[in-house]
Amino acid sequence: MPTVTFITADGEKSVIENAEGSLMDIAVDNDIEGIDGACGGVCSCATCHVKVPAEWRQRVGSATEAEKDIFEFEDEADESSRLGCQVELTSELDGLTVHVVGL
Amino acid sequence: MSTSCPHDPFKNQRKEKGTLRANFEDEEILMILGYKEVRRAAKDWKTFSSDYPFRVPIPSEEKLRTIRQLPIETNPPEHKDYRAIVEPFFKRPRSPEYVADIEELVTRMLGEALKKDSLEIVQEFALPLQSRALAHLLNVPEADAEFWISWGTNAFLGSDDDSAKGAALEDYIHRCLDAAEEKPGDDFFSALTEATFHDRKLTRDEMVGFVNLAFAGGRDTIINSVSYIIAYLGSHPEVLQALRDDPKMIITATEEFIRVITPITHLGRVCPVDTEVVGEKVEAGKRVSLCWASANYDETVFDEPEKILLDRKPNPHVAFGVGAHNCLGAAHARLLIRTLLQKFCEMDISVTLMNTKDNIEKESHYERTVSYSTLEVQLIQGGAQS
Repeated sequence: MPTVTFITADGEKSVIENAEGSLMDIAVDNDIEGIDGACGGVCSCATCHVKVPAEWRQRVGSATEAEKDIFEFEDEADESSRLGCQVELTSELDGLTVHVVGL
Repeated sequence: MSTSCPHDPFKNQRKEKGTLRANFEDEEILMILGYKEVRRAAKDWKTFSSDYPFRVPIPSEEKLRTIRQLPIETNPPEHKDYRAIVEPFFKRPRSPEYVADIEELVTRMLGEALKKDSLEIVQEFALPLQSRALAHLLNVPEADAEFWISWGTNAFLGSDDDSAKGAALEDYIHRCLDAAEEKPGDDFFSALTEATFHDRKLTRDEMVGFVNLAFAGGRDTIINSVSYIIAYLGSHPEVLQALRDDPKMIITATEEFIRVITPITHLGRVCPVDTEVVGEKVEAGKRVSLCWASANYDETVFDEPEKILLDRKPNPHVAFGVGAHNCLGAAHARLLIRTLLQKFCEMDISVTLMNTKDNIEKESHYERTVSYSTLEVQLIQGGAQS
């Protein structure tokens, strides 16, 4: 089971081992500050915005059309942005670190 | 305007033009219909301003209240500071204790409803459920909601004299705030009387503005949503079994119901200077509408938007608005709807529809079916398996 690390807006680091599900599910289950997941993962609320470091971007993949529509009007969004609910943590992503943008 | 879907009367106009000039009472408003354009305008608060009392709702509410609603009728940066004052209350739905309270409320009310041979959902279930749930949100005794229920489905409208009804609401809010000032507790009213904004206490008008929105904002919206969903379960009995087989689908079903219903058709913004939107001119001082209902049926974003797909994902709907002003009560509303679906499944309740009447928003340029104004049903336990 993969491990994922969340770094919150104020720099707090949380390492989650044996993680399963989407980045949003994992963050909500572990009370990661700045990830709300209000809509439950259907790409509506944008309360699970994370940024993926360059070295992970190819493996994580780029934002979907629905995410791009949302990021178009999010001031803090850039090419590293993903919605956590749209990223499933697979074994290929073991060791991933993401930065939480915050609400 | 001809259309096949009663929830989306904007389809042709959205495709052909992207806007609709419509009159509301005596005011001409340019409705923005496309999904991306609605999102764009909602984010651009300098061009499309909320900083005008009574002019965010459509039609405007000059005659219904004397006080600016907060935080909705303000712009950043003040908006953020106003919103922060009440945010802790609206985050309460995230706590396990709160979830348990709402589960208990819904279970109890469904239990009472099951004892009746028939009941009219809008008045006898959705309205009391909304008001009692609001009592939990504002952290006041549930019994306080019994008086709120007497106001009916809309806090301002539906009496012989709507401005008198609005004035009575303001009087009641003053009494709640007086009581809180005299004997502060952990409730919403007390929090307002004790709050500070920019290093000063709130004025009484500001407190009334917050409470006014708390009473009016989440009222017919929740009532319409609850009523629509119960009617849908009546006409689609297979849905509950599908949700029982895959309980995670309650999450996506909730969002899909909210998208399809979009209980607030649109909200207004004032253009402080001459502006052009989707090729249409808006003069300084006039309003546009952000038409959430049209955006949520935009076929360039939602496949088969007229179909209710309970596992729709992604579902980037804007029924709760978008941007700084996104619905404060969204977490509460979502919890209420998810809990309702969950309890219908767990308690194995089936719905027999008896008498229904559509709730139709009739405007000069369109008619939109929002939900039901009458929904007489019988609820039966164990019916799904019989």
